[in-house]
Amino acid sequence: MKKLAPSFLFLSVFAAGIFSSLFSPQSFAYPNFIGYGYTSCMVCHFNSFGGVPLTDYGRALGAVAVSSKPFWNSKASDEKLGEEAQFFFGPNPDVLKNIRFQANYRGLTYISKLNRSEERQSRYINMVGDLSTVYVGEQNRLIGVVNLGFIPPPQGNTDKLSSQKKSRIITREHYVSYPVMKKLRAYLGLMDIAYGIRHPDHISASRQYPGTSMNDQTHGVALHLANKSSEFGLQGFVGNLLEPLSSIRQKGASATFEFDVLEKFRLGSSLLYSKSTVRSRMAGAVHGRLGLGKGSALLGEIGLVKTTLIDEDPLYASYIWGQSTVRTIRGLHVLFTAEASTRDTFHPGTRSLMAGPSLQYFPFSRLELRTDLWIYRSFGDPSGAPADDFRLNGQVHLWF
Amino acid sequence: MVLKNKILRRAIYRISFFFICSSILFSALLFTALDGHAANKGLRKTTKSTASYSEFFIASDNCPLKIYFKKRWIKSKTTLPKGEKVYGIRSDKIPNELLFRTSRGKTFRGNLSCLNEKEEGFFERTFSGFSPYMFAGFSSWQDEMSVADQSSGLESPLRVNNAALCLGLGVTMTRSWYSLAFDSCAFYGKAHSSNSEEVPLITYSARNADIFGAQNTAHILWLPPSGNVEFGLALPLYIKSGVWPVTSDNSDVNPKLRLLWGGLLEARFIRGKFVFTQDVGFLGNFKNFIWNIQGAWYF
Repeated sequence: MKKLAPSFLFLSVFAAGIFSSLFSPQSFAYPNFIGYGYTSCMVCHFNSFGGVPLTDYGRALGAVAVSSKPFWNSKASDEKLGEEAQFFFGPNPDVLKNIRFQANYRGLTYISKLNRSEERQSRYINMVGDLSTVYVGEQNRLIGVVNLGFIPPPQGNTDKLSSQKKSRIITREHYVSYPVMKKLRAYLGLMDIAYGIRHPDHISASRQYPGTSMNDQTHGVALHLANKSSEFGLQGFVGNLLEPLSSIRQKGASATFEFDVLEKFRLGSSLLYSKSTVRSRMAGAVHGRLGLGKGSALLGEIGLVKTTLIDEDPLYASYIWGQSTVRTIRGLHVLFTAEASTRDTFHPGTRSLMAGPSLQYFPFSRLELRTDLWIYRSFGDPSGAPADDFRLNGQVHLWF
Repeated sequence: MVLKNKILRRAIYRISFFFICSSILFSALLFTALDGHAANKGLRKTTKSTASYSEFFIASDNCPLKIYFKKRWIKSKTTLPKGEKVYGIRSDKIPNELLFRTSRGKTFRGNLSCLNEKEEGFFERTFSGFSPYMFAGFSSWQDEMSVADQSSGLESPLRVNNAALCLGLGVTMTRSWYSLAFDSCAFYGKAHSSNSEEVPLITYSARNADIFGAQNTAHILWLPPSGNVEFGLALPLYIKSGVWPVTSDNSDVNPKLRLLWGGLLEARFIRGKFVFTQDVGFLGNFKNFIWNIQGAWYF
């Protein structure tokens, strides 16, 4: 492994993020935006459970409330900023009045084992690069979404892999939705599974254990019921039909429920059951989101996941995930993320703890820069007390 | 057993001594810093007698401000827009007079007599100088110790992963845009220790060893304009003792009492009387990471 000075590596993370932002083109509405008063995803996303394409309102909101004012146009009115945040940097042309486009790019560079120079590793990953096209019918009744993206190549030496396995084009979303009743909207197609808090840190145990991570979308039918102070979602799914191996497709159902306890304070719970010829999975979680002041928030989720592989005893994995957001000035957030997890709750074994601060900066609409210093620690490891693993991430995220 | 009790007794005495001494020292430093700061900003005269601080949302459209400027009251050309947040320090000498700072960072003396507070000014929260609180928390940190063979004098470094629950008391003083706080707690937890060298001279491992001790922390916090949050630094001092299993070859884990200091980034989230705090940072050196969460209740 290369030995590099930490300061050089740290600068490299930032430089790589900024450099790539100049040459490259996901949506960015996160559950911690409850701090801005938005308790539900449906205001800013075409998918009421949250998802990639943003509504016109969501784009405008990002520009006027979340992002800093652009340095080259710091006196621009909110109305102008909102208009410029649309795909065409202004209102849609008349011929495309029912069509919306969105392009997203998210790249990540990381340095793992930062505190152990002999084992230090660094890598840049093009995590997401995709294009969404949305058809919006009259009065937003019929909505159709098609998304095309790619899966980045796996880590390590990929010389011997076939070109198809190095990196391939996938679709993470394609669905139609229609309001079958005034407060009830139905979705049909490929979507993320409705479960838990849909935060972007897809490597966390809260998304890995229940199987709701980055590429775990599934074909199915979903129903979303929105009341004044509560939301309820129900989804039946059959796995991703585009996956060639039908035996590993998880088929099942999930449900999620959230209600307002107080203003900007939501509590909820989620359930999931899925089964394939390889494994069955049952998961349950309790989650809460609290908005504070203008833009600050606390999020938390506790979950238990029972996974049974064929001919094996079940494993009960569990996790507690939490993230706090402090809005310091417009556009700049300081996040503290922490997660405790274990793959086998009811037997002695390794318990993992991850914690660390992050800086999230939206210098202007369409650009998000984020850096995380995450520290991973193990307890109860049979080999002893391992040294902490310090990991530095730098992310650049663009959306058009 | 006798040895263990003797060690325990000595540890408890030392921890108590540390606890009292460092509390006095931290408090003295904190209050000196506060007094100095207030005097430098020229706020002391007003704050001393009142010690009452409020956050307001101006809920009136275009309330004309009267600004005290160069020994005379003038009407400000600008007005406070609806929704503008004001951190006010109320004076008991002149009705409706406030020393305040807007969320845009301007600090000045003004008169809000145009506001009917009950109808138009939304009273967000009031601080009365010192706000005592009690809290419970969880910490996890890594530190280093060593194991020594008493007969041969050989020594090997150990790595210790700690997890502890703490219970304590604290006090906060909030001014217009910053807070200072000091708290103390006693903690109890478990530690997992093993050799940090790949080929150690003395092999040692302990799982679920009891640890206990005390912690004093000073907090310096900034109140961002977004409200309900505080963000800043925490400077803790830890003293820790553990009940380490004695090996058959009579090796000894040292030191018996471990003193640790650190620097942490801190965020506090306030809802009514409840405060949630999260800290991350380093203890002793930049390799020993500590993570800490607390829930506090203000009396």
